[in-house]
Amino acid sequence: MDQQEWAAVYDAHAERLHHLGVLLAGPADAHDLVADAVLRAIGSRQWPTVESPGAYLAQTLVQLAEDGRRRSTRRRLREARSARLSPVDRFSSAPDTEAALVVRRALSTLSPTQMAVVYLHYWEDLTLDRVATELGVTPGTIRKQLDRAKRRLRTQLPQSPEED
Amino acid sequence: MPTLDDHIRSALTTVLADAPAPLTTAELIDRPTLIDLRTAITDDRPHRRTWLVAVNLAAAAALLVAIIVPTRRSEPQPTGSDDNASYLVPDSLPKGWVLLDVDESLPTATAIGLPGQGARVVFERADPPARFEVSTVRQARGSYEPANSRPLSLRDGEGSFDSVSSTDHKGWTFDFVRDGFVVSGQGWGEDDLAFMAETISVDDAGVVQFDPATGFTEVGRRLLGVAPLTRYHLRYGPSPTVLPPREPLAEVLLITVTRWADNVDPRFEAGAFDAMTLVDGRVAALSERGATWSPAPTVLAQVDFIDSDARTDAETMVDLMNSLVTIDRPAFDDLIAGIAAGVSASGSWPVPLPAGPVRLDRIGRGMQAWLCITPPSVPRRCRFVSFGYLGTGWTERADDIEILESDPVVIAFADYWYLIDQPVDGQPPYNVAAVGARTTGGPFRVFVVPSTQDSIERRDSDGYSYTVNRPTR
Repeated sequence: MDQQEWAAVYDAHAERLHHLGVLLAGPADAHDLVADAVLRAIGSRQWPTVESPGAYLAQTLVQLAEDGRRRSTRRRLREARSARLSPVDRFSSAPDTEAALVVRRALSTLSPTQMAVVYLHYWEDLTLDRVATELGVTPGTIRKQLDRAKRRLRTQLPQSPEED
Repeated sequence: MPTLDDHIRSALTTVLADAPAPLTTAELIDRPTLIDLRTAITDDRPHRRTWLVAVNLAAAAALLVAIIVPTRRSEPQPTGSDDNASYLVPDSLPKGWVLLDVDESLPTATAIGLPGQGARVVFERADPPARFEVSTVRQARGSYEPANSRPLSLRDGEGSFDSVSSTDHKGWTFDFVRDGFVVSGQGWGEDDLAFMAETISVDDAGVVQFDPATGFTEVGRRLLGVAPLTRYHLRYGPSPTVLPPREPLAEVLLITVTRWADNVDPRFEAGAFDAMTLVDGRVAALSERGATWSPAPTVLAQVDFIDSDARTDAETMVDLMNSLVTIDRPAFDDLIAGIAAGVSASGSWPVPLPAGPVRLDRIGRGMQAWLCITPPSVPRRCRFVSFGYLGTGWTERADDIEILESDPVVIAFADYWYLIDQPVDGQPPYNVAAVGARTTGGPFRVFVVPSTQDSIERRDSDGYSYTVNRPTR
């Protein structure tokens, strides 16, 4: 697949990738994460034979977020200790109202995969089977991830918008 | 009233509303990081190939062992004596893989709670297929508010119901308060299962009862606060001689074997959503990265590929299950003694202790290291240094990981067990009243705990507690 072809794939899925990037890495690092994911995907051996390039890009982005979260643990912990910041505050650079901060922190408690499931199901209104296809896992896994995400969010999100 | 689904959509709107515009294709192509990374990856091709080979070894492992020993299998025969017990281990490993760690710590109870404080029950229906897992926890206070979204027609004040549906499958979750217990359920089935919430009652012990007329039959149940008899974890992965030390392990094969006092059933242990299949007449739960089955009536075995990029198919998992063999305790001890063999020490310190001096060694470096204790005239024992997310999953809240950083290493010898960790500013303190002696070895703290003490605890100012259990061997 030449540059023109993968560029067309990116164009078609840019909004989804960007939204996932913002949710998984925060607005400040979203562009980096998306660029890394595109690079990783188009540089992989599988890319020429991938049947659904858009789904593969999304899967690569989620996998990169999982990898980055894992591998930077120690560095982030050191930074967090010295700065006394939450190590999962992906949105620390974004100006926030207090209510928005609560929402951002609540979403930050999700794993990248859980976040991707929540985004695709609630924002793009995909069925769980379709979410499973997009993320390359079984519907059962998606149901489990969504259930865990909801159980976590119900304890983290404000009780109602009026209370914000 | 806004539902949880509404809250989630609102939260996404909040976060995405002010997001900057996506990169255009032109910006993406011209992005310096992309150019830098492209160059870096091009320059690093040989390493990447090696790395990819290492990362994909786990899937190959199962295939290899299946080819080498396609018909070998022996089932563990639990006995009353630990010394004579049998242990389940892989018969062969892929090239470059080693046994990293054996954990024989005291198993904890099935869930946080005390006997009589709640229970878990699984029931299923064959036709049309459906399965439910329901947990109960005694309501501590009267303040519980069910958080699911769609109100359910239950008795007054009894909570809510929420459904998740898709094209071909339906997953059902509910939670409500009944008879003094918080009842949380999740289920799977093709048809409308909302009625199941209505059929459930809870007895004084927190055990769920349901109406047999629904067509469901019970798979199993277990009270909270019940611990298994024994449990051990075997962790396999690429040798540090294969991986660069700065990297955490990209992939780990974790084998967990648990012995219960009563018969076990994978249909119960694997949960509501996992796919069940028959393997040689035995029920097994298979997933993309693992399998759960019962090789003997009271033994539950689980294999999981942790942090795996490569997913495994059902056939591979079945082959892996079949490739496990049983060995006796002396052979198991030999395996443990071989942990970290051939890996260079990166530090060695004498540790003066009241019961006599021991030597503390750090074997390996970075995120692939062991801590080993060698008492006089006794073979050393080594434990792999874990960083919290390995084996326990990265879904743990990160602020918990901040407390933990790396898990403390525990090693048992005769009358004492040792807890070794690296002090970190702001860590909550251990319950030192349970500790017999405390000293240091190089950068590490060494706590000596009498074997009569089954665990020690640390608790932070917010009430979060972390318990370290005594190793049994």
